[in-house]
Amino acid sequence: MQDFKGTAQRITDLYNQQDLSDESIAQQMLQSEQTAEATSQWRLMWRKFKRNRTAVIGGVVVLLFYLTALFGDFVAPYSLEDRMTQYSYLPPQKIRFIADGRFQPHVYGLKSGRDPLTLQRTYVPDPEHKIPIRFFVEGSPYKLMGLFPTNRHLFGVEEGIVSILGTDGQGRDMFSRIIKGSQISLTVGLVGVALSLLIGAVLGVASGYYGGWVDNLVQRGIEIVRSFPPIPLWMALTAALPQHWPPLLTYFVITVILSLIGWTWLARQLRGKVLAIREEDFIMAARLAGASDRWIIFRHLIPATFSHIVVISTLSMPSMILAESSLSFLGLGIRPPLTSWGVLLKQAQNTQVLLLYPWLMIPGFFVAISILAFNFMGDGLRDAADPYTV
Amino acid sequence: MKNEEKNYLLTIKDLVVHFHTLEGIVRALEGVSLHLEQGKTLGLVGESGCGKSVTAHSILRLLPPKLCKIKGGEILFRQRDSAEPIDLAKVDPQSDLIRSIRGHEIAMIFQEPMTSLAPIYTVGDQIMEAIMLHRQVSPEQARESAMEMLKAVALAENVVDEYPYRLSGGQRQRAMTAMALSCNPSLLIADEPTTALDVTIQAQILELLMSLQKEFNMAILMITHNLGVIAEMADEVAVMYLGRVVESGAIEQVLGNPLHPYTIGLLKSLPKMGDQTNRRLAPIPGSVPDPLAKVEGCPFHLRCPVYKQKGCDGKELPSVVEPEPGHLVRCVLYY
Amino acid sequence: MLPYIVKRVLGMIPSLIIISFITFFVIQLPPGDFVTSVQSQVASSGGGMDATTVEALRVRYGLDQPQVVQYWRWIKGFPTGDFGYSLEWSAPVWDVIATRMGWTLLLSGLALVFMWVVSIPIGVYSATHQYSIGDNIFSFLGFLGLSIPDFLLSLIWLVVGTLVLGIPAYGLFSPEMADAPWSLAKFLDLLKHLWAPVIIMGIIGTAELIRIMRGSLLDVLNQQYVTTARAKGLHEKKVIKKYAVRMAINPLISVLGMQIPKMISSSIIVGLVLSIPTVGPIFLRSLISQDMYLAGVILLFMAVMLLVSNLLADLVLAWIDPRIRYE
Repeated sequence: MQDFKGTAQRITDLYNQQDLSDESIAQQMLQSEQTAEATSQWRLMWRKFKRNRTAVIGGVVVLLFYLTALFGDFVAPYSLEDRMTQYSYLPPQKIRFIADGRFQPHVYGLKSGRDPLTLQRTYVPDPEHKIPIRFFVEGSPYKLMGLFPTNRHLFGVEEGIVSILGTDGQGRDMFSRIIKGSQISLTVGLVGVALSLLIGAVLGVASGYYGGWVDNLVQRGIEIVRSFPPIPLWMALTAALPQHWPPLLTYFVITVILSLIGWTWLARQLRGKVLAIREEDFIMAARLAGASDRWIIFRHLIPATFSHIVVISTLSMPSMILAESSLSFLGLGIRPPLTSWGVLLKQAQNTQVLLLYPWLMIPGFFVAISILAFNFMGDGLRDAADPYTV
Repeated sequence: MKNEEKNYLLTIKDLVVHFHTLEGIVRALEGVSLHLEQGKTLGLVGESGCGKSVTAHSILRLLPPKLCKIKGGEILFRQRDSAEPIDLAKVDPQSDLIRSIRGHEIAMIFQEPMTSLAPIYTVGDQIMEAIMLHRQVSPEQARESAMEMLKAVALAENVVDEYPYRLSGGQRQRAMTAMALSCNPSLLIADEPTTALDVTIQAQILELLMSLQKEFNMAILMITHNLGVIAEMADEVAVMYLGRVVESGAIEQVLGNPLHPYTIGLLKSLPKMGDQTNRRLAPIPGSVPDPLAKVEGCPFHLRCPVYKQKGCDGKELPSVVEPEPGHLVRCVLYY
Repeated sequence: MLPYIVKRVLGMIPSLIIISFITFFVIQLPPGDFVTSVQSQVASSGGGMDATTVEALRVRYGLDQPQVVQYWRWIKGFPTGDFGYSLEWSAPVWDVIATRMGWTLLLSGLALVFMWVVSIPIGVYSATHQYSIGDNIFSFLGFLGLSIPDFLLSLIWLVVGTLVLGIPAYGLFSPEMADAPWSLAKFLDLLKHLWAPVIIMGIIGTAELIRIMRGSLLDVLNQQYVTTARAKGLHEKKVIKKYAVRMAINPLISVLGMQIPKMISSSIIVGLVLSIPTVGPIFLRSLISQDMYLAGVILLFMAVMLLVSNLLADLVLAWIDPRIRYE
């Protein structure tokens, strides 16, 4: 107790005996580094993303939508142009699951008649006439993923009609058309974002990395493009497409037109990131070590911005999908016989028709759900990609 | 204990503060005890993350109430006109009582002079606001006192109409000090006031604080990781590690005759003036543990050279002992 | 401040010239011209036009001149308020769009007011009650608002308003009021029709502004000067209002310029679906019929609106933030 000064001296000696050689200090620093390095950036991102429940749900919905689009012909009970004119403007049918006390999905058969006042066609479900829904039934032939010819469909009926989302004026099944429409609506986003990314990444990275006149030129370009409100400019550009062009060509040109404006946002975001990263020590170190610009851009800048590119692409999907459906809704986008959600919605533009057959606006809900899912997923990715927030 | 008998201005006893983060509970303070006499300076030292700033913010109850909970302990503060100290740990952080103490009896200055003043109001506006909040004066009188305070911290009077972004870092810290002292507080909490400044400016600010301390007879709680600052300013010192005070005492005792292995390590890691031996600086091995992990037993044992030499078992939390009068240390080696 | 304004306004002139070039280029893009589209219309109704009539029409509208001349003829009247001639409506462009422009501006303006009035309090609440139930609900609603396209909202409103609530959900006036002279009753009728389109146009922007306000306020609340204000002894409400919100509002103002184009796009679609006489429906029609001067002026007008609102946003920012004002 009285000898506290002796104890303190002993501790001081212990510090003095520490191995202070370069190797041991390097060893120590390495040890503390390794614990941090052990989990890679992507693993960390994934772990953080998984914790965000809404983001995961969004991701699952997105995945589901694309899978459905990929196997669209199989999932849809009818093909795009299957017209069942005797069932025009059929409201969505109710699917019942229990028949005669056991599980047997079915729809009721329909008796059609005419409204004595409005002369509209009316349908009365007949509870006595149960039409069972069969799985893997034979139907109109198609090529699965454009490769394997088959005529099996996920579900269907052997008589009458199954139309869970109703039919349009020509008796075409809305559900089948929505699924086929998703192939266009969802790929416009993908292709559009890919093209924007190509332009945006090249110009954004270049303008952020080189600065100077390159930066100036790109920034002025962006400013001019952005001095127009996008939808009207898109309208003017798509209205200029000749009517006689084949629909597929129109489709591609429209994605090009969409990305002509979409790249500006991507480029701005990337430029900001590159500007921040350019100042970091590891870029300086690479430069001092004599690395070429190309080496630095491809080995350091692009990998370092990659997670942001993923986030930014996800977050710009909604505006692409929205733009396509808005343009097609206005009649300036995708042209029949190609079908997208926007094209399907065009029928709902007529107020009188819409008020009589409100289910014609259902494709709009698919637009909303896909946008919502992308927004949730993108938001979760953004949070996960940012290492500095909890 | 006889310490109780003294009329301390501020006494902190076994203060426990937890942060409830999304990742889990961070035990920021695990029983901090301190005391500070009227007109004296207490230096609070430690590495970043040791809880010194949390202690300072707890006194004024400035921690975000939903995130940070005071789990136990007392913060006894003796108000100007009352004999009995009040326990700030029990006060509602939104109450009128704590607000009448903030800026009036206890004032605070911060580390980042570049961001501690709001950029959109003039320096004068921000000082006058504090004055008018706590004193019954007209705006003209408030402006007069603001200009007087600016003079007291050696700034030009016309700084009163300047926006903060037009001032240098040192000038801002002076302005900040003027604002803090404008209501003549009995305690000034200085949270790393010189860390972000140039060395020459640092010295000026410290000198300023010392002269103002004499002039206004206020106590200072000086928070820093810089032992040089402490050596220059403090009367008493408390060394913190992982949410606990591991050693405290008068300045000559702690710096002249350090006892705790952590304090010894801190001092060993400093370069010495006039040291000709060309020796390497000895760092304390390892680093501060993850704040979410609870360290059982002695908080320092993971980095302690004595523990590494099997000189103690580190299993249990050492209690505080007092090897010489007023010099407290939390280490089993001094039992 | 005055030199700053002058500098900014002068800086707009080159942009305006470039924008007018691009506009003219874009409206010239479609193959053929107004006369060809008239021709095809006549042809589809079974008639035909001989070559001399076609040529005469081209000469009359100046379509036979080189592009540069056409551009110059179009643009030179602008300073005097002559915006060209609408071929389809056979009237000066300005007469065709004037009232529609008025409605568009009114709707957009009201939608902007709605956005700000709703989003600031919600944003402040969400930031000051981070992760509370209310915050979570508002965040979810925000996502929803961000994701529902304006055309879907308009369609839903049309169906729900008409079929479920039984109120006329389209147009600006009830049929019996449309041609009546202005009166209190007509004004009230207008209000009854106006609120829904205004909300529909404002909803996406509102959702965006809530997110921006929440994020920005959360940032500001972590700033040292907010703690300084609290350490002074200020009341929490005053700390939030005078220090936090006042600073957090800056990013809201700077996105003002980005809100305007969305308003314009919305007004086109909402106008079309809900039969409201904005410039939207007429713009669409002019694009399809290749009524180039009409389409061009509308496009140009929208770009100018964007430019001006960006200018206004910058001026407001300079006015409230001394750091911008002096530099």
